[in-house]
Amino acid sequence: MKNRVAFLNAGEKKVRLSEEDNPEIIGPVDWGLHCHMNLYESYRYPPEDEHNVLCIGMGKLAGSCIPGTHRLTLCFRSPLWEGFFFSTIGGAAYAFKNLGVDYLTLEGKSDEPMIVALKGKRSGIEVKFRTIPMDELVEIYRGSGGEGAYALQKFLVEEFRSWYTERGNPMDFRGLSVGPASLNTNFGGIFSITVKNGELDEGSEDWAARGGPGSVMFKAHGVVGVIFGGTNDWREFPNTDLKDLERADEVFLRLLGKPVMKAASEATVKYRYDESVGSGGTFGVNYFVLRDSTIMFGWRTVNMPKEKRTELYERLVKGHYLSQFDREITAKRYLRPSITMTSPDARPTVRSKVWKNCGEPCPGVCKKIRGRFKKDYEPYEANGPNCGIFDQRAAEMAVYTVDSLGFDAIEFGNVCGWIFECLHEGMLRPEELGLGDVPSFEPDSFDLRDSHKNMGLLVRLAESVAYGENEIARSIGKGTRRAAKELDRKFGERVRGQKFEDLAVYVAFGREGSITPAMYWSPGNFMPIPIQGKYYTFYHSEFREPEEFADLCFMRAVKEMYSENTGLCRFHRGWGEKIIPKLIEEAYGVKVDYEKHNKRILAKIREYNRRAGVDPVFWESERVIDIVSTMAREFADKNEWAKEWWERFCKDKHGAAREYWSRFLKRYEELLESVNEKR
Amino acid sequence: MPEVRVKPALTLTEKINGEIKLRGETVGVILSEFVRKFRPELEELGALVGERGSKLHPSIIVLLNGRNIRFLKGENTKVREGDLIMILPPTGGG
Repeated sequence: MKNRVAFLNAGEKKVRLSEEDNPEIIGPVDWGLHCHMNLYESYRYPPEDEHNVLCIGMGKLAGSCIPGTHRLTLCFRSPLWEGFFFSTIGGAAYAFKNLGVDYLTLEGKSDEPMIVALKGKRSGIEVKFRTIPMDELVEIYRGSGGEGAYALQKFLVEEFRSWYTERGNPMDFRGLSVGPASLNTNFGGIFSITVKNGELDEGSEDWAARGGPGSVMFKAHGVVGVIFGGTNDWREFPNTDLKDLERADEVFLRLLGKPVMKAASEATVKYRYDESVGSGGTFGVNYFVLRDSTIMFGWRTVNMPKEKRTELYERLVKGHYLSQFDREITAKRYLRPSITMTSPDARPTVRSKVWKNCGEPCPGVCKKIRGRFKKDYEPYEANGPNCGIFDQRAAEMAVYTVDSLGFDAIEFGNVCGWIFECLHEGMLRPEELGLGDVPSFEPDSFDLRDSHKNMGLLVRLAESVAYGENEIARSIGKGTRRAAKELDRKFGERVRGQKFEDLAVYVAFGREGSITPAMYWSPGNFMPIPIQGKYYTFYHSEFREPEEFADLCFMRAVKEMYSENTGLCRFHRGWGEKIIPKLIEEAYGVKVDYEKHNKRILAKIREYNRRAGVDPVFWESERVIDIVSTMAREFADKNEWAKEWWERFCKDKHGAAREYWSRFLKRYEELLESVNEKR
Repeated sequence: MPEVRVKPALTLTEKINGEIKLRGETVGVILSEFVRKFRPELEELGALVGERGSKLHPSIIVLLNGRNIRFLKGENTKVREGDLIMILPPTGGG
């Protein structure tokens, strides 16, 4: 398949265009792997080196009228995880497609912080480079009410709005920017917000944050902002024109028996307001379903008896955090015609607000908003109950601050919950972190008002880590695993027999790498696989035999790649996983065995990681072993193998954990090896 | 004045079926005409807001030839002969 590519060199301030006709490259993950494996060999260099190119790309269905096909995928070597990684931004390919290329590879390094603006025209790409002195950058971050990444995004739009206007008409354009966290930590994200007629469309913002792509953009390339847009809407579908909704409807009717918008609408059905649940969205549905398996107080709940967990859930989550959300966000929110499960008297009310989406022409309004606060489950869990915050007002301020500072909010919330526990246990002293108090982290005596005290401490800690204000903050900025080892070295004497590492929750990888798992009490999020912290695993709260579990995790990873390598939103994966190969064939007349191709991508990622000398590492923390082993306990009365494993964990926790982990890895490796054998 | 095709989608089709042809220079004019023509059905569907239900609920998504009008010129977007306007009620997600 032909691919159009732009290479943007931040050091030489040049852009060059190229074409790559390669049957192995059918999507942005393929392009990222090709760059990192073959063109730049980034595995030979540390993640901060300029060889760690940031590959930004759209999928082969971008430009079509099909909702969910305009996610922008960013590939890089993660400074946090140490291996190959990718992260995506919803709706951003809508503006990117006007640049005139499939992929943009950011190479070279600017000595000073730099903003790059690219404008696609039929004649090629025009580019503007603007360096921005560090003190001016920090002034932008700290100015405008200290809104960090949001402030820089506003600056980008204001600075370049007129450049993206032709004869009084604003073009489609959009920016990617980083916050201070990317300057000083390994888990800085990339922020982007839809620009609508030259103005930011607040509430539609999205992040590519997992794995720290923002840290790569700044540390490896000196770039703090990239803006793209233009008028070169070049994408064509030579076989069947999928830009035409009526043609696309014909294809969907033939393949799925329903038109495009019906398929898109049904894709989000499980997240609709559900009368039986009394809530909606991932936030509402997850907290309703998770119940006593909700993570609270730094994952300590996994070691509590079910009755205790249930009491905390009922009092703090269901009784306040969730009910507040339902009252303010989901209650009577949907128009009657669009819901099938809500009560017949549901009508738009004065409380109704407009929900948003990422900018796709999609009927799914996935952004649940109250004022300027966008509510997603994972950041509101990591920086909410996990940090002893159970009030929406406190959680809003916590998440907004963490987002503004440009963190991967899941990573920060997880590390903050751990630091709060260390403070609560007396292993750290508040003054060592520049904090004025210890958090309220005792579940029994916890009062809902303590949420606000904990939020204040979280905000102060976030600022301190984002700006690298003190030694411990700088340690934390390296990632949980590195920080745990540094704290153990520094305070080993003081904590007498306890280890910081044992309270921390992370998936270890390579020499010093790690990542925060998705915020679910699910063993799949801790298994030794090439990419963790995303959904390339079997993420349900279940306990299986390790070999069966490896099979399930591998199968899920293969399926997830359908979405990621096509730039498809995960919410549309239901129909996407069924018909993407057929859609590509319809659009381009090219047959691709996606199943085989996706397996090869996974094997290549493993190969890249091996070349970089990074492999899965056995669970280092007691808490992590507890998370996995207690899931066997939870299922011991439901199936034989869970019962058997729980007995083994009780008898020899570390031995059983090692055996489980090793057997899983052996099977997973066999699955990856078999991909190469079958070629 | 150009004639355009207006197609309600998803659950709106419970009350309003098929493709309707309407005339107007802009999306806004077409939508007003659509509301005027189908007010009782739209009211019953809970899809109207404003004084005496004068407008479509802001959560409703309007696509002009597959593009969300929010990213064009909103209701001021000009239409051409034969254009397709799709009216989508919002669903869930997220």
